[in-house]
Amino acid sequence: MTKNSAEDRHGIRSVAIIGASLAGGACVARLRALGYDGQITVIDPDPLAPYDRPPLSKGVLTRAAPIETPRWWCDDCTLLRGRAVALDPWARRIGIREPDGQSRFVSADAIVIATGARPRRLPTEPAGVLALRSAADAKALCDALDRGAKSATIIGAGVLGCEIASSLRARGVEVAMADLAPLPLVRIFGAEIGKMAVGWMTEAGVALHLGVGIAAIRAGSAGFSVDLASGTQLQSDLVISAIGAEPETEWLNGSGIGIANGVLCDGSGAVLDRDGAILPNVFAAGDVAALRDQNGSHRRHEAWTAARQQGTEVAERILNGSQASAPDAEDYFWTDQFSRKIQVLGSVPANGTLNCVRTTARRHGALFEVRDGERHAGWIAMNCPELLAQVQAGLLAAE
Amino acid sequence: MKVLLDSHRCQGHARCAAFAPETFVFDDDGFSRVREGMEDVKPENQAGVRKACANCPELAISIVED
Repeated sequence: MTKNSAEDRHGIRSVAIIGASLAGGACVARLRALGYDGQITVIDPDPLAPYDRPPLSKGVLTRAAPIETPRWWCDDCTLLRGRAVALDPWARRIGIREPDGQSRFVSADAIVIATGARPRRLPTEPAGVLALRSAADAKALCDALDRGAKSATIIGAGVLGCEIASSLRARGVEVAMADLAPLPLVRIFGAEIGKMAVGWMTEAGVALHLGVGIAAIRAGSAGFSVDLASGTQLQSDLVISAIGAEPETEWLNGSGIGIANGVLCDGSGAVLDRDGAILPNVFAAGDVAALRDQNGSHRRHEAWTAARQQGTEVAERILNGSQASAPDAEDYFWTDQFSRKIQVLGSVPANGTLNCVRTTARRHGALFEVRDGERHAGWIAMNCPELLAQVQAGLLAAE
Repeated sequence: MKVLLDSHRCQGHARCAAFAPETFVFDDDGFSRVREGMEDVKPENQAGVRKACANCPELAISIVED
């Protein structure tokens, strides 16, 4: 690969990336792969970063996988432990609070915001309710199980809540789950998969309390009580909150950057100011980035593959100037839970219908085409990655 | 350019089949391998193999540039 000199990379000699996340790490790796030999500083307050998040709710909880430096991490950069607390996007200057309380500033020719998201919390949560986002969160939950916790109430029946439920059941923990939604997994996988999930979760011994709100969560000397609006009280040693994540943008309030459920960006990660104009050489990637889609609305793509792709694209934009590239691929998302691998390619609209295209005898696999009325919206493969492979290779089509 | 696939890492995401179906093939268990004779990537297949490498969630694919 040719050397990427300072002249043909628009004078970019330093890049500061806020977040040693997958998006930030992918950006570092791509910058180096393209021959960029300038300074890269990565800023993150998490003492355990970098690590990969998908195993935290799966192998890490079941003790099948350690927390380790991920393969996507490129250590040809300076990793600065500290929390970014302010940004001047015109001067491209970041204010940082270091772990010892000292302040410092880092300036760079290009800035990448990859601060991700943090768990949304219920206003009624007492102290001691657990969440799962960071490696420290996973360790805290593992430690509680090692100390002998026998039962857990999981609030939230989304993908994360269901993965935690699967891991806890594998460890023999009694699990109850509560959500205002009428079905599990419904936001990403739609109602039809949600109905199936009720079956396999019930079979696995999860006590589901769906379509019901939470009146109160109380901490007592012998554990917790989650009081449902129906009057039911769920007693357990642990309560785990898994009701979604909100973007880590508070530190950018007052910076002049456009923020509305995420950092507002154009279609490929160039950050916009409050008037919607591109801020030169300021980018965002990963869960924090609200990218503009073809309809002009902004959406955060909270998925592993999206974070990696966005970090990669931002690196290319930093070195190639400001032209945007077309995205490579449809959205792809997967979950492993209750001995099932469920993959979705494309998206599942709330009213989407599933049409079973093929089943397999082994592992009760099934491939579904997702339709939004007359329109093809995506594919869902349950325990049949080989069929999803055929679909993606164009070897299998809907009937 | 050569392509290598660590089959122990493959978890059957099948992203490689989307980007480079001429280079990767799937067994009945849904795991990928490089098609026989395709380890040396022809120029016309290189862009697809690079995308497959960049999109593999398990980072099971590696590329050795000539």
